[in-house]
Amino acid sequence: MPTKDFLLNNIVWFMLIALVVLFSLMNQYFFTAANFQNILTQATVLGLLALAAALPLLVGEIDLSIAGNLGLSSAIGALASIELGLPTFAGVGVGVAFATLVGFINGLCVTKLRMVSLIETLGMMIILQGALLAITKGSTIISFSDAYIWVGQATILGGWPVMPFFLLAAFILMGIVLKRTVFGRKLYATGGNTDAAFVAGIRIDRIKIAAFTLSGMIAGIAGYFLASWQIAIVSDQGSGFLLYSIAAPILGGISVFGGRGQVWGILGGVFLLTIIQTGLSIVNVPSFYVEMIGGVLIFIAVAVDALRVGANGRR
Amino acid sequence: MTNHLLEIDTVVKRYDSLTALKGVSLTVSPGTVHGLLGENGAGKSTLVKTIAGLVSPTSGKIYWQGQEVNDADVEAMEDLGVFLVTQEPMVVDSMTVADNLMLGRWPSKGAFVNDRKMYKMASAFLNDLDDANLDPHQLAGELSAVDRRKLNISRALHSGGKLIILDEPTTDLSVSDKALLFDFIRKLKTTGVSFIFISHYNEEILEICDEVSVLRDGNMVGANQSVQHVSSDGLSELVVGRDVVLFQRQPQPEKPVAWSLREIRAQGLEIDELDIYEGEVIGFAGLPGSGARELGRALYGLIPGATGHLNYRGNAMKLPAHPALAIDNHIAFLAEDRLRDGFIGIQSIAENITLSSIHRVAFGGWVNRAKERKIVEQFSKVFEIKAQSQNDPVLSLSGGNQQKVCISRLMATKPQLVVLNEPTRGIDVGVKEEVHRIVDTMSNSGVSSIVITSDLDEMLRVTDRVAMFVNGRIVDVQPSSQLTKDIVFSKAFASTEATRFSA
Amino acid sequence: MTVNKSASRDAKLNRRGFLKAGAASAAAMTMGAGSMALAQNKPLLGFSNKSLDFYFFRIMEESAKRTTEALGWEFQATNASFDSTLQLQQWQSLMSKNPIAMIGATVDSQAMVSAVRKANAKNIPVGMIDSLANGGNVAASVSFDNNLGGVMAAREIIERLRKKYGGQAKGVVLNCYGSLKSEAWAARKEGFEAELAKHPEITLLSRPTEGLLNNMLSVTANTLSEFPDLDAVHAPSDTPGQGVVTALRQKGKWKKIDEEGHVIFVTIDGEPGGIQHLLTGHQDADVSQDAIGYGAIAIELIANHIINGGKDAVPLGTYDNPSYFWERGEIVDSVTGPRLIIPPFSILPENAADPRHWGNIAVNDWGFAYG
Repeated sequence: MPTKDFLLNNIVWFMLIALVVLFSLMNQYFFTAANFQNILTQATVLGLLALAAALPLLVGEIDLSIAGNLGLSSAIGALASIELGLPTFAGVGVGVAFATLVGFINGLCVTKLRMVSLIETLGMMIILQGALLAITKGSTIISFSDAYIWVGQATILGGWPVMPFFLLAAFILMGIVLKRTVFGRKLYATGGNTDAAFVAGIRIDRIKIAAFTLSGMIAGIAGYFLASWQIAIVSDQGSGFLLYSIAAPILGGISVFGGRGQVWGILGGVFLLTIIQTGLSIVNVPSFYVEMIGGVLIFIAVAVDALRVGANGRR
Repeated sequence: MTNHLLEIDTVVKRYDSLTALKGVSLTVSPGTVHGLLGENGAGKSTLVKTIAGLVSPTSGKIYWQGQEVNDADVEAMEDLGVFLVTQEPMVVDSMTVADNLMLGRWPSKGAFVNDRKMYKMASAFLNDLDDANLDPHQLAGELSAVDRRKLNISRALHSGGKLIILDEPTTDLSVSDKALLFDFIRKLKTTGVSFIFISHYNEEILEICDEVSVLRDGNMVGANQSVQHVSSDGLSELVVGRDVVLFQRQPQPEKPVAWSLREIRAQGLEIDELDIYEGEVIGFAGLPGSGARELGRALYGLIPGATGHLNYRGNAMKLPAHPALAIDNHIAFLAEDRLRDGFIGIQSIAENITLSSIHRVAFGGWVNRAKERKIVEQFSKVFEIKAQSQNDPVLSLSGGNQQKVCISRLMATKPQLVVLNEPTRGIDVGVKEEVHRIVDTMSNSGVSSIVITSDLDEMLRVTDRVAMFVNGRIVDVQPSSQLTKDIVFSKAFASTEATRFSA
Repeated sequence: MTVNKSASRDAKLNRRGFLKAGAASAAAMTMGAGSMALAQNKPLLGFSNKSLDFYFFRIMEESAKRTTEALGWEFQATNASFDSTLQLQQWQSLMSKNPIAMIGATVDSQAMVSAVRKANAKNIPVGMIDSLANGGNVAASVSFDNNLGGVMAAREIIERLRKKYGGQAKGVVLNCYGSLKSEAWAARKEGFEAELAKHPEITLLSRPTEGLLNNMLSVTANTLSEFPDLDAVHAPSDTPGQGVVTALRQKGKWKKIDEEGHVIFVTIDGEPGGIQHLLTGHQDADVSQDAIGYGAIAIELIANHIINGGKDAVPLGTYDNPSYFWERGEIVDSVTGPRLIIPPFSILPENAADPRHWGNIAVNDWGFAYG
């Protein structure tokens, strides 16, 4: 039954619509262009990070270090341009290159050294967070050049911030890579059935390393976007993003066992989480209940998603 | 009437749009083994699930020892004594045999399991079974395939089983293990336990069963036939519904050598030389560990550290170190465990067929989907893959069609040497012959094939020559036309039993 | 002087240890005393910090370190990263080195009680700073009245709203409140909002940020879209408050105080970042604590009165010290003993350059760059 499948596979989007309606009824400001601009801007960093989280998930691994990687790489990039006087693009390049290297190391550890990705990346996360604290020594980096912060601040077409366009571009690009390229095919095959993919002649280790490396690179880009948007790098930069960046792809239908899920779903998961957060901050919920209600909404979303998985599994 | 243990009376099972059982009747007597045959999708699985209480019939009656059973679920049926032992043995590897034997029903005081009592009870029970030969303290994960089967059957008996349904219990068992399992079943039969035995192999049914019933397309086409009155061919005909013409490969004209294998070395493998001719189908026969399977795996880069030289029509090459290199050298490989190593179940037919040859339908890293679709359509047509669309996940297909997808994937790499492990395992009789013909057609186009199968009849019917392996070496190579089952068995299987156990 | 004093203390501890042990040989005792003297030729002060993720905590630790070293003692610090269990473990490790005193900034006030009692049992004087313990015997507690800090921040805003609207306190005020799991942030929110509640014409938008910079940024940006005429924003800490600054910049509202369209901006902490915005004339007020005062005063009180002064307790009464901007505070009795409450004070554009502000000392004299 295609209609039933359609409903189930896009359930994250239906929940999204339901929440938009709900929040709009509670606060009419919610349904305005200005608010959607804000939501889209805020979804950009989470969206990029969710893509970074999704790549290891697709090959049946997990990367907990992406949020830490985001923080440290952005600080390295920013310090490279501030302290060494590198031009902005070179400084950003240094940061993204560092993040890519971290991803590559994760990939090597998981494949060649056979480390369990959950624990390996947990260790990496703690190293990266500690290193960020060590190089910032608790202070906040705020002296950026105008060029560095352009992406996070600029608007075009009558007030539209540019960040969401990059988000959109990143998702379209990733969608094409996953669906239309040989690399994408091999990624899904590796996650779908690692043994069979190996016997089919796919170089599993290379694909996994590539997934982790690309994930690191995207985390680095997300780090640059976050710093540019905040005009600040704090000593625990990115720590608030970790769980949401893993939750978004899973909510959007990326299987933790690998090989399943679409980019379209990840975007839905990102928007859903962003809307829950934004919505709860502008409707009047008693302070002590905000966190709990946010948790309940995410819980419901996961429960509904489990119904989808269950329905598909029984087929 | 009342001397039947179980009676199924015109049972019908309808799903949404599909009728899986169209009024099926059969009886099972105490202390007998009842064979159940039929193609995939014929209704065997629905029928045994109905008997086990996993599925409730739309209409019809079930009698247990003459009493009608109504709306019984799994627990109710298990209370009566009906147990289903599935293909995947349900054993907790990290627990002992005794733990598994009483899984969930351990003797306990409050929340604590009384270990001493459990082992004592298990010992006594397993000793009674005698043939079980199982050590209560051993970890289940260390058991051989046949002992795991026995453990499952023992568990059902321990829980009060009177009728045990065995769903393809011989999968993955070697010839000698199969004999051990059959001895165990015969022994239990004498104590009054009954079995329903599901298999794809007529020979097994004829060997172990007292009666046999055949399902076709949801209908019972032959209920409660005594095995003394049926033949293997007769059963095949009942299963398929028409005369099954068994494929027989014709003698081939002499061809030049295509592949030369030299000095192949790996742990337990020592092959000095073997030549395979153009378009030849060669069988590798031997026990597990004899080198037959191992040589096939080594040729495809699946044995780390294996060394050796290959020569294909004058092109010298090293033994590939990775499947990707093997594919580059025009070698393809069909894995024996289809479900684990053969295909990506959640992915589509199309994606699976082009999986190994994706670069052939891609340009600069981009997949050309139109080209892919065309290639997949060709294979679907030639191999008659039955599916609603190329986008169906492979897991949703029948075993035979899954195997056709796997072979398509191999052929899409345009191989010159194909290693086929158990090409017809778990496949319906009719489709088996189709697979045999596919191999034949392949070889006519010049592709050399290696067939490794535990079904010796099949091996002799489809190959040109058979290489026999013992202890990592080839002991003999003979034209298939000059071989019989007995010769192959005595050369490659029987004579080495002793060395195998002493090793 | 100090060294002699502590050496005799070491001897006393050893004697006690010996008596307890009972039947240890004299040779073993001499060896034990010898190795102890080697390891501790300088007395050790243990400092258990709750986090280093904020500039404030880092300076608090630096001040304690400088004071300790000026006394000729050795300084050792631990970082609990806001994990109360970790803090208790670290406290235990520091105590195993027989420190002359322990100073702590607690992650969890209740959980810290057991740690204080352990120190009491070993007769090690304890000082608590910034976030205090709820029980046990604490020789000196030095803290800030977070509730009053919130009240003062509210008053700064109310006063400016009056000026803006010709004597009437009205308008829309956003409070980017921090995580309520933090006692300090919860108390600031309570004080701030209670004070604003006295002025019903003021619309208070109380919105959660978890104290995260990116949340303060998005919440302020959202609120500015919803209420383009927002009058004032309050951030209960300077570090994440930088997110409010970014949001105001993005929406073209980062104006000097006397410029058209200025949004009143008041924070708490007195970090150099806040002082910088006061000096450029963009920020209205920063209600300050004293990161430097906390550790320094607690250690001085313990050193002067107990360790070197031979008294049992820090005396109650007025505390005068003109080297601090606030100059005078009151030492009062509390459940855990003497407590100095440093009065919150507002840093304003006109006094932001005062060299006695902790933020100015940290950056200008100690060379701890901010950003």
